[in-house]
Amino acid sequence: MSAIWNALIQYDGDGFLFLFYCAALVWLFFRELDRVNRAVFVYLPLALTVLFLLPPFYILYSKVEESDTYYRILWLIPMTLTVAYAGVKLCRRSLVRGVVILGLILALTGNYTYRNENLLPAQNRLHIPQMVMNISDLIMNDTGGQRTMVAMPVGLVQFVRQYETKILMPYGREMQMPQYQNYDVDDSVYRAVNSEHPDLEVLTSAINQYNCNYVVLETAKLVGYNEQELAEYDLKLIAQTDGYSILRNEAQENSLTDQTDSAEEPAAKAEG
Amino acid sequence: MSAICKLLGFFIFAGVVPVLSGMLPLSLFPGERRSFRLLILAGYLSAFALFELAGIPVLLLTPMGDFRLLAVLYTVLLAVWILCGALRLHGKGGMESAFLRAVRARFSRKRTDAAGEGRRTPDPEVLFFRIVFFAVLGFQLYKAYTMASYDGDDAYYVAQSVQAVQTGTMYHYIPYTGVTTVLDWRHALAMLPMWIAWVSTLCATHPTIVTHSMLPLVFLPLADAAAYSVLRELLDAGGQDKTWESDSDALSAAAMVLVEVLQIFGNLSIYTPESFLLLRTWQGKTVFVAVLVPAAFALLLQLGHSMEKGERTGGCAVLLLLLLNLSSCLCTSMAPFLILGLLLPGSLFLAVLYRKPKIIVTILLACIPNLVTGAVLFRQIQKVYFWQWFLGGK
Repeated sequence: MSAIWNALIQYDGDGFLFLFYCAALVWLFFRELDRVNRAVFVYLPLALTVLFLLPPFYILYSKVEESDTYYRILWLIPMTLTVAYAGVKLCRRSLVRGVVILGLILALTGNYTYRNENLLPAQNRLHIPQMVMNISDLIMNDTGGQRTMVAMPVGLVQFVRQYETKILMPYGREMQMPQYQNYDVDDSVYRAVNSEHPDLEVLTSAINQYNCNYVVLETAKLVGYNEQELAEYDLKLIAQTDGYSILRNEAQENSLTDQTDSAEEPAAKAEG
Repeated sequence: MSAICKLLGFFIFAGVVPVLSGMLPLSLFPGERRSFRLLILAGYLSAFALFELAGIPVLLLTPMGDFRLLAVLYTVLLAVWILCGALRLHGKGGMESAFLRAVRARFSRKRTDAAGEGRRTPDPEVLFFRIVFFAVLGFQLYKAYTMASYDGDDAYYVAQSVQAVQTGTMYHYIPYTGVTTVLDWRHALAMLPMWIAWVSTLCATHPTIVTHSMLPLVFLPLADAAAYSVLRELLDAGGQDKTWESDSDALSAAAMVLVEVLQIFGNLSIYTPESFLLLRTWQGKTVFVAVLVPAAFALLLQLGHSMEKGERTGGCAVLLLLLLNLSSCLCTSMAPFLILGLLLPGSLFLAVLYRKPKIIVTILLACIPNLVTGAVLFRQIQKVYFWQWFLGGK
């Protein structure tokens, strides 16, 4: 039962939507006269709400789907529409004033979406960090548009293949997802690339194991290494951009070259 | 100029074409039921359903899932569907929506309408709420175009669209790494990323631009259209509501303003439909919760009200439910189960209300796509679990 309440509390977050919905539902229960509206918009959501709160239903759901997605049952309950419908019916005699007051209450008790921390000014029309496009373009220029394997810092991996699928990676966004943590995978490349102070010997051993032709590292992590020292490990600095250094692994020949004749210009892709 | 052409192309293939797809289902309804909002809903349901019907065989029967074949096949299917719809609708008297009547009345030289009454001046309340609504919608569209929402799930879905466009294959590469793999059953049946790839191919635009910058310009109004459909069904019904003055135009416009407020201030948690709508507009889960679930309620209400009035539009509503269920399969793998969990209890309540058990059977027939999808997914997931157990994995 606590898991169900947790799902409800997490869903409602720091607002009062569920409370407003319950109030609207009760009001409609007593004041809605149209019997079809009652059947579909009062009794049906009420039944779904009761079902959601029943532990046997939670157990059944958990057998079919991951239990942390149980909140999706609440998606079937039209909370927003019920609150809006009940609200306008409640204040229909003075509609403008009523809607203004209700709107203010909903705004003050809600959470302004456009202040969300994951929402940032778009840097381009793809709505991905511009640095990812710059890094990808530099790599594609170096390969002549051929497919290649690149080891990237974990903070960039979720964006790279949203721009260019010719860049393959030894690991991707799955490294950040809890459900993959228990899989028995060799994450030597991940640890080597994302280490605070990369050991070049460990790094090159790991990237060679995964046939990586390039490795991208934060430039700050390469302070203290000059070109000669990098060359000792078959690493060549080909470009730097946006605080990242792109190193070509000279020990690996690119085995992922395309069979097709044409290779798209990266600039043309960015134009869309 | 090129960017403008591409934007125009996007609005045609992701906006106009889906709406026109609604003509065929709409032609099955009696004239007075053919509203513009029904055209929009029926159109997108048709477009999504057709894509799912065309996509699944191509995915399963061609090597690596031939996306380019699917793009051609779907385009042809859609063209035929629209042509048939235009011919049938024309033959059945065309569209007599309130919107078209209002436009004609506005520009008509006649001082009176067909009933001999004076030309109606717009209700100031309705006008006020509509102006507010469109202003808020405009603000949402501006924010959607100028703000970037970084969501981890895009590493899967958007990468699948890009992969389809750049390699011509579907669901045979791991989107996170680019390594080839066997068909990803868990997600492959939900083909919305492929529909997005189709749109981006036709308007010659990078799929990620289409997904993040352009799709919200269409999906946000679509979500509002779905919400409006529910509210009109609720408010137009007030037949037995004798104690209240009926003014559904003003009430529905006012309710839409409240819906918009709840959307903008609905980021109470990462789980609410409002958060999904404004932060992850392009994802299948969002289309499901913001468009298909309200559409399901609108169709159940329409079915019930038709039965109340003794109209013979029940079959049309069931057809739309069938299209709705196919569209739900397109959106996300859980959607068929969830929508089934909504429609079956809904049919039960209507069956009890009208003492007609046949309603349950009729709606169950419209849910056949959900049952098929569920059976396929269940079998594939069982296979995966078996091999994991057999190989000693978790």
